[in-house]
Amino acid sequence: MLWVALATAIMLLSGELSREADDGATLALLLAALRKSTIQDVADAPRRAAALRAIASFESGLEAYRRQLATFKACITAADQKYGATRADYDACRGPLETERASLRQSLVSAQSSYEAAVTESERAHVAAAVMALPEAHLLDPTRAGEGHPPVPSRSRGLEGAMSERHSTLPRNAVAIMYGPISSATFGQRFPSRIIDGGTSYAHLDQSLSDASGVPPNLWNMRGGARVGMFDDFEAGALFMPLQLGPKFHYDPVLIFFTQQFRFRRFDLAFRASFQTPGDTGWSIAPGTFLSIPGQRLALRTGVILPMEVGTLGHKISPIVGLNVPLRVTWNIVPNFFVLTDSGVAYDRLAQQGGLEVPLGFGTGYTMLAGSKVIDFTATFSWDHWLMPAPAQGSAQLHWEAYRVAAGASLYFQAL
Amino acid sequence: MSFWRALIGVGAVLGAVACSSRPPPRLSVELSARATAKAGVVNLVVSDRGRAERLRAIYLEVVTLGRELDRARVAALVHCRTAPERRTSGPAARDPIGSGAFECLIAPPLTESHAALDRYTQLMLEARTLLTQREFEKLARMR
Repeated sequence: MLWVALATAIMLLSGELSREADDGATLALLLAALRKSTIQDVADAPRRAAALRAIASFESGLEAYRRQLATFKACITAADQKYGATRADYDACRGPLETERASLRQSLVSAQSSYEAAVTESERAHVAAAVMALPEAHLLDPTRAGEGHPPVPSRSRGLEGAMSERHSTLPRNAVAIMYGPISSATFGQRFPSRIIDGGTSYAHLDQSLSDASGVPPNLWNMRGGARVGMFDDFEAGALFMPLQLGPKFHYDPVLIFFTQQFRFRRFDLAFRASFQTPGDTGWSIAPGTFLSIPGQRLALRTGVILPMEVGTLGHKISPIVGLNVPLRVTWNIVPNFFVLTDSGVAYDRLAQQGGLEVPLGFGTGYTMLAGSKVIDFTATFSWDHWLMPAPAQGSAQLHWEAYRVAAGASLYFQAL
Repeated sequence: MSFWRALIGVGAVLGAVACSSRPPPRLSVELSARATAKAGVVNLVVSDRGRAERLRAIYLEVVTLGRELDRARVAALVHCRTAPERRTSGPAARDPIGSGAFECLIAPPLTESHAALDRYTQLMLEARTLLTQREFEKLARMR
């Protein structure tokens, strides 16, 4: 699973794993230094061997304790997994650990005495100086004992369930494999030349719209990708499998997006930077700001996006700038099943008079748990150019013949 | 700094690792991770709103307990490293066994952790009363 590996790499970079691993790595260095210094500073071979045996015994005592600790945790885990577990099952986990603690103390005291007997006062001083000279020894400083304690996360890192309760970004460590419409990452991804959503889609345009936009009247697409919650309120992702299946097969530009969210008591604000790799009109960028109000049953999401197509260095064009203000209302009839309606206003080319459009769309989805993963099955039907209230010529027009149907599924899981 | 201070330090780190770090991960991390994984999706499994809300509250309290366990562990370790020097003076302060520092560092007295584990047990048993076996098993598969 490429994305699991990527997510893990990101977590490592962002420090999620390093805090856990630091103590172990530091400890290994300190023990190695202790052993090395003992070998160097204790000249007499029999005493040196005795000192090394004491260190080994010190380590094995702790190893036994760690094993018992693992047994204790496995015992708690087993009780957690058993529906019929009672208090006695939980209490039974603690006894052996207490016994092992006592035994650990004995083995450490014994190791300490052996070491003390094996080395002289000046050798001890040398060894201590060598160990404490390591930069890693800062962990032994009593005044810094509380440092390195992981900060309290500001947001739960579990997967979010009901669609209406979800925030604009994934929780940290959560990964989504997107192959369906109705994702927050593709909400409002309407560029002057194309409208982007996940899943398999079929878009039909009437001839006049097809001629005006240059988009084929019957368009089949298949778009899939992934997104990752990198921090508590920051996610990144891409639709890296953007295929046009018909009328002609080709690889569409890849959409990449980064979203930073700010959560408030009743609403979320988010800023998203999206861009597409160069297509017919070069690079496309779409900065946007979003407001979402999650709720147990009902959720509202809107935003203001400025999509632009700006050409490339080799193929300069006059930037095509649009404005998109999508609006989505989601209603979870039950936690697993939701319906939604999409609308808003869109101005695909601000330079073109009378281009204001009001889209209208409907969607539905079913959310289910599959093992430890959450799967959304989603489908939408939308009229992306439904109402043109003030076209350049004539009066308001309704375009019932220009519609888009999309369907697919998205999978969510915790990377760690 | 004396050798024993260094050894105590190493012992402290080893003790902390034994009690806290990966591998194996801290108990608090495991308990919190299991509860966190369930809290967000409990309403996908339990259709009754009242039960789902109480279960979510239970899982969130477990996350809080995990943080309390962490805080208690860190506070106990800090206490172990500093208290013996205050309690004794002269040669006794340099004797980690006599001063009780060694034992304290390796297995810090975590009375709070016992209380937290008791509360955890209580919460887990209450969760069972709110779940059918099928619901319990579905949630258990989360983590």
